[in-house]
Amino acid sequence: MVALFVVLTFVLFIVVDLFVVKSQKKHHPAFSVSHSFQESHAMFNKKSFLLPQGVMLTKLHVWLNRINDEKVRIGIDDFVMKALGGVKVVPAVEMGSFVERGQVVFNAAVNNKKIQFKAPIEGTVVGVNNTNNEITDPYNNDWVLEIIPKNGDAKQTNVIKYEEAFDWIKSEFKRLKDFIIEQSTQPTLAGVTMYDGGNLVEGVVSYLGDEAITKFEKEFLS
Amino acid sequence: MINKILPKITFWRVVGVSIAIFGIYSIIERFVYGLGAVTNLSDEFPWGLWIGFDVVCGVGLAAGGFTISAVAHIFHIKKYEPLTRPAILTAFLGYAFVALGLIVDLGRWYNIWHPLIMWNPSSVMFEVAWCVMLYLTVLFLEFASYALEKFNFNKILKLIRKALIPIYILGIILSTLHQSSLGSLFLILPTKMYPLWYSQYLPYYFFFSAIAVGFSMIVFESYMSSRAFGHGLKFSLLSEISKITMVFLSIILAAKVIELIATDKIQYLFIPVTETYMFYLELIVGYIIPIFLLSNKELRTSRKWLYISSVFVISGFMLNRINVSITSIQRSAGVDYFPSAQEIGISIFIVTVGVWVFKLISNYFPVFEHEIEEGENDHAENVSVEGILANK
Amino acid sequence: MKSKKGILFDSVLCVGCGACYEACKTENDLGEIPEDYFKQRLSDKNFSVIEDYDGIYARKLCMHCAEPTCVSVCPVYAIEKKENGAVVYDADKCMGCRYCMQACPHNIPRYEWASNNPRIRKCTMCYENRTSKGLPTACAEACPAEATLYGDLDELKVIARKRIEENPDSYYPEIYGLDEAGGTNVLILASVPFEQLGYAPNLPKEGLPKLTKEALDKIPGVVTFGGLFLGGMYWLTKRKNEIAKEKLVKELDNNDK
Repeated sequence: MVALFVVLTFVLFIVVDLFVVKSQKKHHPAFSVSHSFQESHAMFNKKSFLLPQGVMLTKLHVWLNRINDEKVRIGIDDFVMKALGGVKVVPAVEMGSFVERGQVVFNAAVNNKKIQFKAPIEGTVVGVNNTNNEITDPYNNDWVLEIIPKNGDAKQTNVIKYEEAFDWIKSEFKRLKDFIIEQSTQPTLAGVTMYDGGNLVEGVVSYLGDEAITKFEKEFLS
Repeated sequence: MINKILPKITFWRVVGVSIAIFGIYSIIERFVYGLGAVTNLSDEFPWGLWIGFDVVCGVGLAAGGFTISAVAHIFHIKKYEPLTRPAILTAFLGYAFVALGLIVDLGRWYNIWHPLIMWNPSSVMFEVAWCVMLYLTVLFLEFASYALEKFNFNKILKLIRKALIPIYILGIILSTLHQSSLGSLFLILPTKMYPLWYSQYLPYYFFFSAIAVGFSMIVFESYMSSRAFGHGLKFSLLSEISKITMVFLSIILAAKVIELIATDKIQYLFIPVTETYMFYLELIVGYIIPIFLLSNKELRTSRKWLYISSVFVISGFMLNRINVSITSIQRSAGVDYFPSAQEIGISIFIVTVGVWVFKLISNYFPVFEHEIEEGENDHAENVSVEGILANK
Repeated sequence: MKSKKGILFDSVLCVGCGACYEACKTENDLGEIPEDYFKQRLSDKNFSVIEDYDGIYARKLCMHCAEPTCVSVCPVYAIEKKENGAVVYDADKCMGCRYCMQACPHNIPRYEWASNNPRIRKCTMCYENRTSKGLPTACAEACPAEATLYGDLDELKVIARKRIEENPDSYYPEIYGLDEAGGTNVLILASVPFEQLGYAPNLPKEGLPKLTKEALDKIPGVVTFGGLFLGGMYWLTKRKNEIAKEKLVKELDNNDK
């Protein structure tokens, strides 16, 4: 009987707490419900990423594309675009300047919060895309900088092999989901089936608030 | 104006303060008038709620500290690292409050230090006392390495970090010993305990179920702190460690079933008495339901069901421990023991203080911030390992 | 070596006069002596009682086990088996965990529940003032019917066997205490099976301390093996991670070329 009493007391406290949470109109991490959120938003999943031939992805989520013997174009990749939602990118370096690897080369604004992108190669900036659009076509029209790499090549960068790029994107997508789930106090934000494949709301990171955006920058862009 | 001076009145604050008032009153009563005045304990039934719940359950429920420490620090599964700090803090507080519960329960509590100098190595209680003392020290050092970060006492911090890996290993061994020893305590009662619970394998059951419930406690406590502090939930990690819980629950369940079949104890399953029902309840709540819930991937990866399964594991665990320490002994003792209001009040008060202190420490020390500073702490880890190498 | 002493209680000869009860109360300074001594049960004020089972009188007192469970479970050695066989408690060492009460197969130790400085209370075989000085226990000295005898344990066993042999019709043909939980220094004779008189039934023949000793003996093994295993795992998994990291770095280098 004592055993029963102890367990019932334990359960009683838990149940009373559920009612307390409800009466305070807060969310209990186990029982919050708001399914309507993702329905009105565009979704993406691990299969919906683009990668044109010739584009090389890097761990910094800044892509490279050799457009001729000299010049390399760089820009933000599809993954970041979808994770952050409508992003405007502003170059942080001027024409003719020399950029080091790891130097901040452009900024994006999300929720009025600035996040920084770092250069995957070093070299001289020879072209800047000044269209100032919201990025929609990341690998073509919406490139950001043109660079002539030092020593004329793009060696020694964290480039991901083309064959492995999709697997890498998938793993990044999974990492993003885990990240979202950890950051989110509203589980349904991440999608219905959070684990196996599943969809994410476009711009999901921007819905999580400034702190999460800073963490995203730290975890995915450096 | 008054609103600014007084803390906001919430439901749990009112409940907490009432618990504290009654708890403190009961503790004073106990130390002024003695055990007989406040408890329903008797010569026939010398161990009650304080031993059964505060000590035997309490130590088990604090097992998350050593299990997660083994996984993250010894097996180097780095991703579990964010779970270690809250788990180790919970363990430290858990044991501290077990010690507090013991002081209330011991008749001559001022002699609690006697095992230090009066040795009887043939006593399981002696072993438990030593392990708990040493493990509390170990947990204190582990926790101190976090707390010192806050104050930038870098010299002491370096010193502790150098010794951290041996400390982790020592902590795991000590936990193995005393978690199983709590089961060994009851080995010496073959004629007093009801046969469904008495078993020569009690130490093994206790050890394995402590591992299982340790991970479930981490899950439960993560939900609770997420609810209290409003920060995120390391859900994917929790979902993964719950698999370990399921494996260990299955092992124990299988062992119990095999033991029942292999010995003549199976007949007791068909005797319609309270003990039989309690035994069934323990198996269903603590093993069958959670194994079912956690083996189903869809349920395991659902926030709601993961939480519910942890509540089942913890409830089943408490049923088991109290069945072993109280239910199984009632028949041979020939008395119906039920704890007095003061016994219950003090037990709940101790748990409440534990929750308060946890909240307080989490607010002021880097318990949860760890997840933001991941890069930094990796470095710290390297320092400690290099430190050990340099020492050799 | 001093010979082991013991007490023989013969419920067949016991007339229920209560002399042993009174002597015990006086000897141990246990307060006023009540009239209705049959109604008394073991407590912090009664180290020994006489229970009335429909005209059969059964004395209850500490059995002074040969391998005392209480001695083995006490974490601070507050209970000791003396050289003459008496099991004696030392309140100065005790911390009051009550494991002895929980563990005693005969349910003997009692506790001063009303005290704020509680002691374990039980029969001491009059060790301090009598048996350590060669005197018999107070109860044996007081018994007018030779129902309680004090003496060498081996001699008492001989007497007990002789009584059963000489009067086989009056006695249940066994001696309680020869091998109950490893044997006791208190022996009991009765006309009916002992469980009918409230003596603990079904005790194993071996001493109970063996049960926990087996578990405790595993400790050095757990510590050694556990230390080696955990240390090994620590090193192994660390090395594994390092190798994986090195491999990754190499692959990345290759990619770049």
